[in-house]
Amino acid sequence: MPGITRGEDNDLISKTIRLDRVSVDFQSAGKTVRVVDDVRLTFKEKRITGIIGETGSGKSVLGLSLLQLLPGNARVTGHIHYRGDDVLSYGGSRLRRLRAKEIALVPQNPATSLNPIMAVRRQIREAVASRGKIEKPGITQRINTLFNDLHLDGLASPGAFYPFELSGGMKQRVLTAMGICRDPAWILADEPTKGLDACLRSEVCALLERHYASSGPGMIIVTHDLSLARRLCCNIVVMYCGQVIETAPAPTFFSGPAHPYSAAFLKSSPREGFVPIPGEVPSVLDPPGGCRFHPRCRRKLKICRDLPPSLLGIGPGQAVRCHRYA
Amino acid sequence: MLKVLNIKKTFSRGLFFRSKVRAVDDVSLSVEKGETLGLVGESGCGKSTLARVILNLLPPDSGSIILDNRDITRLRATDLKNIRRKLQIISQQPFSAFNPLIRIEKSLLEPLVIHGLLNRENRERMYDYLNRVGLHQGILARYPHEASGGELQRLALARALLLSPDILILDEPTSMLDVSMQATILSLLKQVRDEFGMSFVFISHDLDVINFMSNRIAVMKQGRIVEQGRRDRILNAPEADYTKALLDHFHNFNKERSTGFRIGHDAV
Repeated sequence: MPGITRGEDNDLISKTIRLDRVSVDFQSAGKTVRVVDDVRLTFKEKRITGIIGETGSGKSVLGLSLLQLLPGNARVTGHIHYRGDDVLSYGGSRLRRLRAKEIALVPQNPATSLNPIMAVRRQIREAVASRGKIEKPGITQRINTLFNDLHLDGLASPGAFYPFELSGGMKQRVLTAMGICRDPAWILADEPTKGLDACLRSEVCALLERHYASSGPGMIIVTHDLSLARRLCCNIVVMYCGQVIETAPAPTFFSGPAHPYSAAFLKSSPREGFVPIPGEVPSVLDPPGGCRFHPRCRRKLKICRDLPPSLLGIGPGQAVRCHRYA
Repeated sequence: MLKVLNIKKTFSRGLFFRSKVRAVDDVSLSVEKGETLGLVGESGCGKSTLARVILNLLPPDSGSIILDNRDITRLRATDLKNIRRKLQIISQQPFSAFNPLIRIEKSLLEPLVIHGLLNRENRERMYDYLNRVGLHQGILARYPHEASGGELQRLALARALLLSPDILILDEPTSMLDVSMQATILSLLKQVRDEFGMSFVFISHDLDVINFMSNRIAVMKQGRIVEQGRRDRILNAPEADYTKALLDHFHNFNKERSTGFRIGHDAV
């Protein structure tokens, strides 16, 4: 039930995910590129945490590192504590069980995440069956309920449907269904509303809400959709150029973001009048020295150019990486 | 300037039991010079199909497209080529708009080569436009996979501008981009439109974006235009039920939280 929290010492029972100095390096053309830099975060169980940031900020990479789903040239260091274990040390069947039953991924990119030569229904069946212990009629019933919930009734009609026959929105809903059908302890949704129109976006969002209300899993929502984050999340984590630059409870964040970048990011949203953030998103290949946001920051100080700020606690559950708060 | 008259387009599926999908059903639109027509509707309502028909990339089943008082629907290939220079598109997927095997510079110059316009002056214009869209020349030597979605979308715009089109069709140009990049691209598009006096057909499902960009709005549902008119009239006093529903959906999503959905708040 939402509202219950357990202490950190209760790690074995608690399903809280704790990231301890997690960094991700990519090997590329003989060079090492740090894409996620020294992230320390706690994802509280039964809570919805939103990781927001621009493309290239490392938010998806951070998400995928939980499930060891990064490409072979990525190296994850640090620890990810979950139920008294470090999931980064998992391999083989334990890793498979983690992916199937504990932390379910709703992947980004609906166009490429389904198998193009396998009927959609069979793919969902595979996901439902991976949970085990359901008889065949049970599976069929479960799939039909899912189709109903997602307004995919068209797919329940006879004849096999293949991914190419589905619109982007339908594919996204199929993937969301495949994620939640296993009743996992955690749902990791990577941009679940990207490219969806207003109606479908509220449908996918409502689906996540309903699932949260009935099963109460923890959720990590990686997104740049600020209205989705505002609607769903309890806590917000802002990433910029591989670093966490702000964490805050959602209401605090949306009423007054602390970091200048967060403020500018909110201002660029449609509701706030599409004000662009000046300058370019820096490349992680060559991050700016000092504070990584200083070249684009309207409120920079002298010190910002030279000294990288550290993440400072500034209130209950609120931390910010900015010299203005030091 | 551009008139679309009673366009119909049907697709069929299935090998043995053929079923037909009416993607565009009797659509008529018009766009004047310097005007932006916003085309809004849910996914799968036929917006993109209509765009492709207007561009002559798909033949319509019936109806006609009139550009500058000339029917361009059934033209010979050579005439079509001249028309295509005037009608350009920016598509939703920046990554599929560039050939992954050739460098970006070649991609940018390719339309000029095709239309026989490659000369020193136009090359200079390419550098100029590149600046205008906020990119450096260094990007020209790169391959598409080495550029970000926002960069590619700006490159696609620069490429389209090189042909000095009269009409630019923008098919969800920002739906795959971040909000901050979206803001950048939209302001850039507005600038370019006003400076070059171009007309836009702006396709989007995002009413905020449509509101920001358009003078007039057409609302599409299941292949049909249910309503069209001045932007303020459509957004403030919609007549069709579907438009009302769409507006409701949109405003509701942006409200704080739906009722009955409560989540606990506490320290991280």
